[in-house]
Amino acid sequence: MITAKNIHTTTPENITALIDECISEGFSPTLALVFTSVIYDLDVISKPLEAKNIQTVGVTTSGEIQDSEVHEDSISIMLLDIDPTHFKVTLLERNEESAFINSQNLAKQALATFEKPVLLLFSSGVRIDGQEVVEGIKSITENKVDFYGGLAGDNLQMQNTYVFTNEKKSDNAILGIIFNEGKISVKGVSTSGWEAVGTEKRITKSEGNVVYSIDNEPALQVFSKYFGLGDIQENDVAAVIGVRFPLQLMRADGTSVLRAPLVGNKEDGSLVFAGTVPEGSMVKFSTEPDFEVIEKTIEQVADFKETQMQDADALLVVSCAARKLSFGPMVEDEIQGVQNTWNAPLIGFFAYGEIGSLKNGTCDFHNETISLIVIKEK
Amino acid sequence: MQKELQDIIAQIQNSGIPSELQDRWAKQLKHLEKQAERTEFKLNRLGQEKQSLSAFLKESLEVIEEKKANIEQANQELLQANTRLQIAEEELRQNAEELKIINESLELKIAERIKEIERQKAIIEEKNENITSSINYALNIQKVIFPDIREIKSVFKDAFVFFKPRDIVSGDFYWFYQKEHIIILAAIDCTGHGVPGAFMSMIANEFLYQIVHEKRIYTPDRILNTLHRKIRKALKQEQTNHQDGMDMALVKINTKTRKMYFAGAKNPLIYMQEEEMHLIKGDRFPVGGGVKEEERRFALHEIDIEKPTTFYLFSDGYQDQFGGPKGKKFMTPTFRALLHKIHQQPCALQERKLKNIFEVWTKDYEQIDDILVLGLKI
Repeated sequence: MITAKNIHTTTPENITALIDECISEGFSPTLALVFTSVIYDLDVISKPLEAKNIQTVGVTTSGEIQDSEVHEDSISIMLLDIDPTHFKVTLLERNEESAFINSQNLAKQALATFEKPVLLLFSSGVRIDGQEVVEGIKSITENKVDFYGGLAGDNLQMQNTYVFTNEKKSDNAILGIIFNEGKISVKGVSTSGWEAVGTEKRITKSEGNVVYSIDNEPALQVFSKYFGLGDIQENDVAAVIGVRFPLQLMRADGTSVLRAPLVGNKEDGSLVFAGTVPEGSMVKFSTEPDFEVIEKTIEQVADFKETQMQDADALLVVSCAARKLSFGPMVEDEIQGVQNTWNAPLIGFFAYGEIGSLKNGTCDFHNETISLIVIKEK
Repeated sequence: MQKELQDIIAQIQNSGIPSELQDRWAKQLKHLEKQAERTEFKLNRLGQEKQSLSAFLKESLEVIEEKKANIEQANQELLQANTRLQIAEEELRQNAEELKIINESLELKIAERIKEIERQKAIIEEKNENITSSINYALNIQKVIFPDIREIKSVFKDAFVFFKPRDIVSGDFYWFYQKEHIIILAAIDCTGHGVPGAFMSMIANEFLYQIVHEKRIYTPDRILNTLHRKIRKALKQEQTNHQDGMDMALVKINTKTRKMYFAGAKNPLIYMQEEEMHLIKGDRFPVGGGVKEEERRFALHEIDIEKPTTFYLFSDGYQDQFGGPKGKKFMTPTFRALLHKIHQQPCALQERKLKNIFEVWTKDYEQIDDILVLGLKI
């Protein structure tokens, strides 16, 4: 069994003392999942962990989650006592290569490390196309390896997001924990709640995750016009549009995924989405869910527990930053409900995109979801 | 809100109420404050939602109104187009009506024309019948002038006549005279075929009778010279542009001296002796027509017929016939080779072979001229 303990602070200098407090209880952590606000010096966070010979997997956030609480401008750390031979941490910076190639490289490493790996991955980069990250992994693993994770945040400033380890930090990299699936079970489920509204519209011009026009009108203008949003500042796109009115992207197989715009460009009226929005595809607007959806999420998580993962050593939640804004104080109810399902240590963060699988689906890139990942030593 | 709460709690603490009660009230107040905070959030979000959904509905309605207006305009245009179509349809119907009347009138006219044509056809058929009947009768007359093959066979060892007119009556005919040891035989090809040819043959036959029977001119060249003068005179060719005449090959055989004499107007004499083929060409001019000179001197050729001799007189019909796989003429060399090949066979067999080969050759083609081949063995 993995032992997991959470520490939380708003003072990085206290981290060493907090770790010592845990260790003194006869606990010997080897891995730390660190979710922190961008306001902190990341080196100050990772150094004490390195000093204790604990491998850091750090991600900046748009809000931190610990057990049943939601925080802002804080540092949440889950210390895990796992056999170091059962996992490997790797940070691959993107130099010239695309996010697709970068995640392919991670997938290759995963397959080279363990016969049957399972991946937790986090990506930095405000303009990164999460869909490319997912497709890169899939192109190598051919859906035979499960993977979960999300995109780092920066308190909705849309400036710089980071991933970091003891040795490196980067605002343009992919950070992965490769688990040996033979020893550690890692399973996840994602759920949304945002509902489609209005008629179908066509993406008339786009490149990757940048949408220039919808029904031949500048994308930014379309949102502004339809929802009476007035003049939207470029960096407010995520908060004003992304949270409240993400697009439902209809796929050829009849399914749909949510795509939230993160930043805009007033000059050409384009919007940068967290994931690919192909030209020619059909989309619908979405509206925020009712608060009752929180109950549904908890029910779905309970069902997941019942059918997939009855026990948990640790819980990881990657929730969309939109949920925090949309549900306000009620978002804690959702987190609390999830934690109560297993009553295990829970850590997580509010992200700019989630990687997980909707019910009965394969691993994919999402927005506006809460992605739960359950970790259990076999 | 928090300050207000803290103030209230402070007031409670200062009020002297028992601390147990104070704690309970403080807890209840905090709970109420939390609930108030949540309610406020919900109200704010609902307010925002109301605002944005109103805008969305307004815009959607505008879009729908615009689409409705477009549809109405399109509908109007369709109605107009429909009216135009109805007018066009009416015009078409009227045109069709007119066309029907015209058609009926045309049908009447056609019926009248057909009736007229049938009447004319009947007249033509009747006339044709009369003409054919006349020509058939003319054939009877023409046949009278043709020598009886039995008569010819009686003076030769063996003989055949392959005679195949293109029409009922013929421009080709053969002429025979025998008195004591003198035999005169000619194959004559009068200009044209059918009725005009037959007319010429009657004239030629009459003149040959006058020349040979009455004037007792037996020498071939003199016969042809005399015949030329007579034709010219009879057809007034020195005064007119009348071109008609005849090609012919004529031989005189003196059975006593065993000599054969030949004169030819364009047509040759072919004879075989000791399996060798000999050819004596006729003069290059015809009898009558063509050249306007009054006197025409045909050459006389003498042939020794001490040896068994097979000779052939013929018109140009056989070798000029089109046919065979490539639709070409039979050609003179082929014809001569054929005669050489068959010359030793009995004349009846030779005639049958000439006939069969001709039929095979002309299988898919019409006969273009009268055919006459005389074969004789001395």
